[in-house]
Amino acid sequence: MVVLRAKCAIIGDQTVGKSAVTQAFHSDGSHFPKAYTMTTHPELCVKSVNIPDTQDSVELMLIDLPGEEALQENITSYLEDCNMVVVVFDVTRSQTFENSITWLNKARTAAGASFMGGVLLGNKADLDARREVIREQGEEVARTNDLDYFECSAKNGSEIDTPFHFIASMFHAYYKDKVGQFITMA
Amino acid sequence: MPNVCKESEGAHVVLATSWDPEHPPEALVDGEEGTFWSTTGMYPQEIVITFPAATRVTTLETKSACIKNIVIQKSSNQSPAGWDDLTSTELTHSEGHVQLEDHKIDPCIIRHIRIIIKSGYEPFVALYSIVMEGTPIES
Repeated sequence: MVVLRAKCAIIGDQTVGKSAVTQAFHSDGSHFPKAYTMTTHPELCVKSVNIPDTQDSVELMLIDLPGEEALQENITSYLEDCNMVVVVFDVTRSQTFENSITWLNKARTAAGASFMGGVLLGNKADLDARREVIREQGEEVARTNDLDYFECSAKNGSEIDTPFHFIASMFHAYYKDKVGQFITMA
Repeated sequence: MPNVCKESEGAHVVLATSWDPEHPPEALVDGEEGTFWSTTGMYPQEIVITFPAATRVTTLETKSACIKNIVIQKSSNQSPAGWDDLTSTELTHSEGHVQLEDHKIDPCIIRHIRIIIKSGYEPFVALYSIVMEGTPIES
């Protein structure tokens, strides 16, 4: 059994629910921040995920970054050496969807050689009547940018774990693959 | 001169920041070519190896994969503290091949050695062996 450690940044526009998603996942769905508080500083939380069918686990170091424009000054230093990203957008606001690729590219550039991919996550999926981005659009953009697509509702706590379990498994698979290469290189 | 950085010579790992039971830190000092210590995510990573006695070391070679910046420090104290830099190197990367590096060092007395991996060309790196030629000093 091995414990792997992954640095994962939660990025996306302001008020898409990055902190809500992070906190809902971190608290196993027991905590949804009902009142909005703007994230002014990057916030770190750690959550361990067991990898199915193995004794292994991945400790996700989740860095919840502020989305607000004026607070972007030191953000690249937090993205440095980042392994994976969760790019969050709000399915009821298409502008946040359009901006998600800008966020991805920014993270990819800042992260450098450690970067291995991530997920595009449509939040607020419970607000079906106000939806501006449909699942197919999300899947399409995710595919062209080498991400996997998920939707969730931090408010309902639905499908919150899925994207995080996905990136943990991705990290684990990458490790196993790399170690296999190290064996053959020797 | 023998390689002193081996378990059979009494060297042992006292600290490592990554631990995969299949590729444990001890693989570094087991004297085998094919085994390695793998890091398990994020940087920096470090490993400290202690020798049974103060040892006069003349050469230092590492065999690794995917390491970018590596810093090697030594301590000649009884306990592993008071580190001095021995080398600080940016290794070159060649896809699919191990990195063999001869770190040019001046002969010195070493009791503990500390290897700090500051960055990698990949999220994970491997350290296969450290070869240090030297002779223990009678105390």
